[in-house]
Amino acid sequence: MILAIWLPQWPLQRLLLKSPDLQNQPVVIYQQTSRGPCVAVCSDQLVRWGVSSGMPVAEALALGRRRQSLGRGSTRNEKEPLHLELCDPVADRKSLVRLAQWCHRFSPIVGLEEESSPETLLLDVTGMDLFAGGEDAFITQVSEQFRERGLLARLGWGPTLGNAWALAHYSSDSVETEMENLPVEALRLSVKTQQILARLGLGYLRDLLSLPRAELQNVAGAILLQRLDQAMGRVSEVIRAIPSPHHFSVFWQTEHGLLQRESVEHVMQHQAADLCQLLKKRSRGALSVVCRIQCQDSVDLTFRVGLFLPCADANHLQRLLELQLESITLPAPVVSVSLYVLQDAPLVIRQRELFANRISQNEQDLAGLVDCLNSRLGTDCVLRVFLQNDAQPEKAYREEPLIEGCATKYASSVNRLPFSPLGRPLSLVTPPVKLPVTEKRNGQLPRYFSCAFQRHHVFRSWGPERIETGWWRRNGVRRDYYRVETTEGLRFWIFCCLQTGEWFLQGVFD
Amino acid sequence: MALDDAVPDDAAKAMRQLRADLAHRLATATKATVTKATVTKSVHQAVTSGCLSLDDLLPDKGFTRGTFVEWLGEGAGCGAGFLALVAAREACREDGFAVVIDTPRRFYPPAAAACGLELSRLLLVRPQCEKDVYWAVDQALRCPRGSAVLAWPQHIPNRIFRRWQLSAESGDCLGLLVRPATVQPEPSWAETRLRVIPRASRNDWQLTLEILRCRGGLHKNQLEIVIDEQTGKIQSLDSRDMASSMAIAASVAEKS
Repeated sequence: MILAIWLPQWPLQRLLLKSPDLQNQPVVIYQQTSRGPCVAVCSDQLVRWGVSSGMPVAEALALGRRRQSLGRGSTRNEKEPLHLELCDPVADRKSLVRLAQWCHRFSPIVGLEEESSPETLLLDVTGMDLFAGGEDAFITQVSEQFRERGLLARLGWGPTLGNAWALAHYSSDSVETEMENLPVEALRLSVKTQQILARLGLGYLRDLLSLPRAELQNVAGAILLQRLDQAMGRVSEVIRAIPSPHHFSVFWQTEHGLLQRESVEHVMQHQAADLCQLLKKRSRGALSVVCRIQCQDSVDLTFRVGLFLPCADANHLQRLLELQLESITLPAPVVSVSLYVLQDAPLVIRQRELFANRISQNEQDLAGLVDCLNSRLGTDCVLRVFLQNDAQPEKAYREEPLIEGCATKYASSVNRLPFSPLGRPLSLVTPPVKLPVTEKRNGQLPRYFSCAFQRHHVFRSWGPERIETGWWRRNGVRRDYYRVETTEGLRFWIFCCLQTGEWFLQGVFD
Repeated sequence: MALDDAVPDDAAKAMRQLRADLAHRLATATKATVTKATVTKSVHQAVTSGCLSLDDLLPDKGFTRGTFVEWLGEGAGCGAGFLALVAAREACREDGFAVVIDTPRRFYPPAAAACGLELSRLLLVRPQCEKDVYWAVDQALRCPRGSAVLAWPQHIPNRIFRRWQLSAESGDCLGLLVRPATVQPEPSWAETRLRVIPRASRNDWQLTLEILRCRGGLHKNQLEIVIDEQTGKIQSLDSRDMASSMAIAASVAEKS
């Protein structure tokens, strides 16, 4: 038996799950077409206002504004009447695939309908009802679990895929629907074929079933007969199954709680070894591992270990877990410890070479160091740096945390730096420190300035170097920079803010 | 039955001699190889400071991997960090990566890139507290492929410094510490200790390097260096003056 689960307006449902604050707002998901942005999906409220799929967004906005002004009795627009969101079919599909993987709890064979923008999940549930205590109990269980996830789903089940799909999309909720009474749209035909059938006055399946098959084939080709047979349960179809994600987890439990931290570490050592054994069997490496420690009195401690490269090394994993455990106080005796892999990737296994490649070895060593530093200091404290094409010194580089699975090489967008080795200071003061300059020199470089309770006399200088950002940047800068050397030989990087005429210290040539 | 029993006495004697001779030759060859490898290793372990004149003053013709170099700066803006960065650049020129422990949160990567350090070989670590700094430096030094660790610690407990030194030895990593000159009286496990004194000058950036400590002792413990404004090249004041004098002499000779 096949179970079809239709998620009407899936892109909208996905958006509302992602941003629950949009639940009571009129939302339009639009797509770019040759006619400009057009409505792809919209919320029920907008459908009542007259907005429909394919309508230009400008028209939908006008309708929204009109409705808003009527509702308030005023023509003044205080905010946008609609929430607009660009359609993202790739993200929609990915999200649906994740949902399909979640559905492996109901059936081992789960697939998606073969459409460019699928909205229906297909499950082969043959024999599954036995586990739930009957067909009705199974269907109720599935629909309840979807409701708990906050999803609106319509279910249809039948002997074939076509039959289940038709019932999910076109059956009535209140009364039992006969297949013959379903419209021809339930046959998953192309728009062109549907138009031909509509011109001939063939609106329902019963109209098609009353005609000879040879005539039907003449009207719309063999596809019509094929779809009709599939819908009536005569011809079966294959579900292209989505592979289930691997689940790697280990669990340990005891009746009497562990009081000693060393004992917990010992358990963890065994857990890590078992987990790595599971990973190695499938040639997978962990990128993210979650450890859940349950203490007595139902106190749970959960922490995550991120890895730079896929890893199935028990010693390394245990070390990282211990580093995390060190920073945790166990509030009560531990009764269970579980480890599960949140993210995994294929394990790269290389044969040992006589003259080993130092670069690959470097990457491994770097990964070990990064994992340790990340575990103790946090991912926002271990960074890699990229240069950026930006004149403003504070924005001339970008920092990125070295998180799991990002061991790939990266390239900077800047090929050649526009300054000499001594052109920029090694220490940048952010935000710049205002320099108390007593003498007035009309924007010219001051002869004296004070910094950190020390008065400096400018001996020589280089500049000005005008740095100005574009008008489109909200907090744009307009500065004249100078490199100055004091009579003591110390070097600083200072600038004059051209908007205010004030002087600031931006860097120190440490 | 042993081979020696099956052959006549003379032949057995000759064979024993041959065995002894081969064993001796093998031992000599192995010893030579080991000595050669040790020598090669020691040569490779020296990292140039970026200034040839300073290298000449140091016993290994550069900084030794697995040790610490301390740069004591006379105030902010004295150029000690730049000199340490040049050493870090040289340490990871061929292989490995540099770890920058940026506790003051002021490290400016574009300046490092302009200095010639590849940012793809740079790992920036920003520990939150002093305890984490000690731990992070220790971990970075232990990493087998880490080439240099650059840090700006103020106070280092003696026990921690000793641990760092052992870690640097085990990881064969060059530790570079930039510290204020006020810590000079404190005990240190650094093999090389340099004090950087800036000098105001009309040409380029002139600094005085005072070598406070160095293995093997020195006949000269002070060096005047200049950093070229355009290229960032570091050379001693004497060698630069000599080079410019020779250039002038050459141009005069050419004109005459």
